[in-house]
Amino acid sequence: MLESIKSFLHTFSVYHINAFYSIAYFLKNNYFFIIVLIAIGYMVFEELRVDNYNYTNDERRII
Amino acid sequence: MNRYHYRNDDSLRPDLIYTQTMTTHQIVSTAKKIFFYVFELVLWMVVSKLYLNFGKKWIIPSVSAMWIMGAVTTFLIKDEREGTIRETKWSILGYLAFLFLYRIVIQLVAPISSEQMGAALNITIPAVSGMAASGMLQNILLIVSVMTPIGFLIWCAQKYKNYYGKYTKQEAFKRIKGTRENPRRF
Repeated sequence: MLESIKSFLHTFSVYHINAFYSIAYFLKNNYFFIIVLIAIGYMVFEELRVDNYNYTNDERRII
Repeated sequence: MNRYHYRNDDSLRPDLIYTQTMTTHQIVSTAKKIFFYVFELVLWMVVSKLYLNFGKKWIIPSVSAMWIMGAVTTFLIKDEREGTIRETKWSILGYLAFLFLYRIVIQLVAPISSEQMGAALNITIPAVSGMAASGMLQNILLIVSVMTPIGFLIWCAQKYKNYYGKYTKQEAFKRIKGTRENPRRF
């Protein structure tokens, strides 16, 4: 029983450490590109928001 | 509370219903806007790959600086965000389109020798001027590719100066109040 729990924990930790390490490695190597992507995304977001503010639905009229 | 019902006024005054759904026009315009940015990103990658080491060392950092400066200016100066966004995306697209097309132009024009040009114009052109012409084309490329991002960054910087650099109304009132509330003690 204890052995199986131990082996499960070992597998669990190995998988998770590996996953977190690869994420951190990716972020470390591409941090500049990620910053630029965030900047572009923010600009798209703001543009769509401004567009939404200015948008008026002509079908919705008050009689 | 009394509610007054008018007869047969349903067709005259229909109930207002506000919906969260998007119209087709909105969906299409949103998709167009997102596609524009995706296209620009792809063009940036293509152009920086075409220019090899120059692309890696100059085009990627300069266009990144333009994007980041545009986004930061949009964030900090909300009053002018529409203009800032428009200017950022079009100036980057123009810059990348210039780099993409000018490469083709140089490839077409540079091989023309001064003898060929002299024959076309029916004059004698010295061989050195042919080299000078191709050198000038390279210099134009260098100047434009260096000065466009710098010009854009200066354009963004002057926005900060105009927006934050002036004496605001709140500051003026604060100063007047301060003078009034803290009179000189004798």
